[in-house]
Amino acid sequence: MPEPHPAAPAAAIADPRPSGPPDLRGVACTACGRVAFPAQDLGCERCGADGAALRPAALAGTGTVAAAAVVRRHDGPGIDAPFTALAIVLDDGPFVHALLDGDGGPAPGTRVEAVAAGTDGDGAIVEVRFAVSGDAAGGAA
Amino acid sequence: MKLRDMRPVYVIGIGLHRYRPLSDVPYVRLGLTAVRAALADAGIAWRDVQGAYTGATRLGMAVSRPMLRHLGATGIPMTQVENASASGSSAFRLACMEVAAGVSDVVLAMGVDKPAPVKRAESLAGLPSLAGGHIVPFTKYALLADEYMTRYGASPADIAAVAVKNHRNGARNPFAHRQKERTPEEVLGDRPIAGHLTRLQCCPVGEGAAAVIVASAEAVERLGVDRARCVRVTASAQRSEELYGPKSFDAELTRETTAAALADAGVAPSGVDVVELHDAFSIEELQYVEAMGLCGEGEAAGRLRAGEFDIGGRCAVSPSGGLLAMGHPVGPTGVGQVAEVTRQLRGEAGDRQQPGARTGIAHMVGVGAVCIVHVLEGPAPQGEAR
Repeated sequence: MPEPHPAAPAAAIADPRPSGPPDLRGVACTACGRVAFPAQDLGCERCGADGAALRPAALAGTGTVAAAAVVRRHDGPGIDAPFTALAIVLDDGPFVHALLDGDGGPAPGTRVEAVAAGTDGDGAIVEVRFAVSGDAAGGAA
Repeated sequence: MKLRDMRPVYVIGIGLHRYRPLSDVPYVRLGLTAVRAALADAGIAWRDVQGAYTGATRLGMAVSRPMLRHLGATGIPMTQVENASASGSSAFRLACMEVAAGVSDVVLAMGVDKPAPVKRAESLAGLPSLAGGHIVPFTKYALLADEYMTRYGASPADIAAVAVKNHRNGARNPFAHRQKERTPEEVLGDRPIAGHLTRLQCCPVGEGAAAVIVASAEAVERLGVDRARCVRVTASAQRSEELYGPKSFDAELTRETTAAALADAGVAPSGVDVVELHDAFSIEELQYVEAMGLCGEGEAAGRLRAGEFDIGGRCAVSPSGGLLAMGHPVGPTGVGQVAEVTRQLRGEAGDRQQPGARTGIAHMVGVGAVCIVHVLEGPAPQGEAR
């Protein structure tokens, strides 16, 4: 019997740039100005506009750590602990949860940037993690 | 329209099956234990009940009748309610609305559940995320704990103190999943889960059942129910998540929904004697008592340390043991909170009784995200006009 809700193939979520961290594929609402991640055409979460009002938006893959937690245990299939979960405020506005590329728990305020962590057969970036930025003043705790 | 401006609604009966780890006992037996206890507590018969709402999340389709038919088939409407962690709270709200609207005079709200795999609909939305299945509830709350500690200078021991209090309360509750007092050292030194959260700061998800019967004043009179044990439901508020940016949406939802419920009930935060809240993870209690206005922002840890939220303190928070100790079987949890608040407002909570409790709150959040808050008011002490 087929799975009633087969898993969708991993979608591209970021695009490489000639230098620096990849851009994240976000969405901008031309009706109300909201910028969000991920890209979607279902409707704006603030004003409900859909269709042509929603435009793809390249979000800079840079942000600031709001919180970090080292996860010691996880029951999910195919997920190995430990890993570090991050809450990040992107420089372009959206608040996202993501995974740290590395160990430990960077202190709130630490600067981080996107790193391509997985690509599909066509080279599209389907998995992104965040690493502590090389120019970070605070560095990892 | 406010619930208080509609027909008065009273909780007239409460019943529970102990929350506990998964067993091979069928859910039907768990549920019937709770319903029969609630009927006995109210002193009414099953044929007096005119409708039933059942909160459940992992038992499959159509849980009510295979269970309730064993009380005698009376043909009453039966409805299943799923609202994540707030399923039982939603069942209770719907039962209150049905009585308040005059559709029925006596309605059962219950919850029953057993652990089983569950799929969250959000994962089927067709949208990618950066962390996917890595972010589960305890991960999210571990991040909120880190953010709270940074903002207010709270320590891991401050957050663990919530679990110490609630395990102490649960040790006095015969229906609690966890009935053992724990020292701060035990809580802090327990198995690490995520961030600063240890196992004893995360709620146990097991099986159980809870039932509450609500009725109109007319039914209380007609059925000869003891008025001195009737607890009035003075407000019911429910909201869903808006856009809060980087703020904790659970805390913001709690702030809005509790404010709406207290305003409808005509009660100030300082007038609340007992609170049962969604402490699935220890950090939540600190955030929610602040969001509810029981103390100022950033003050919760200090107030907790001073004993203000203990049984016997200014406002008893989670005297049942809360989700952390009484447990979180999910479907029953919100109904079990109403049962505990009712017990407290009747003055029947034995050695976990909050002295002089007159006004109580039951609060749940659920993934989605939703928040439901009920305000209950106890019977006037003897000799005092109502």
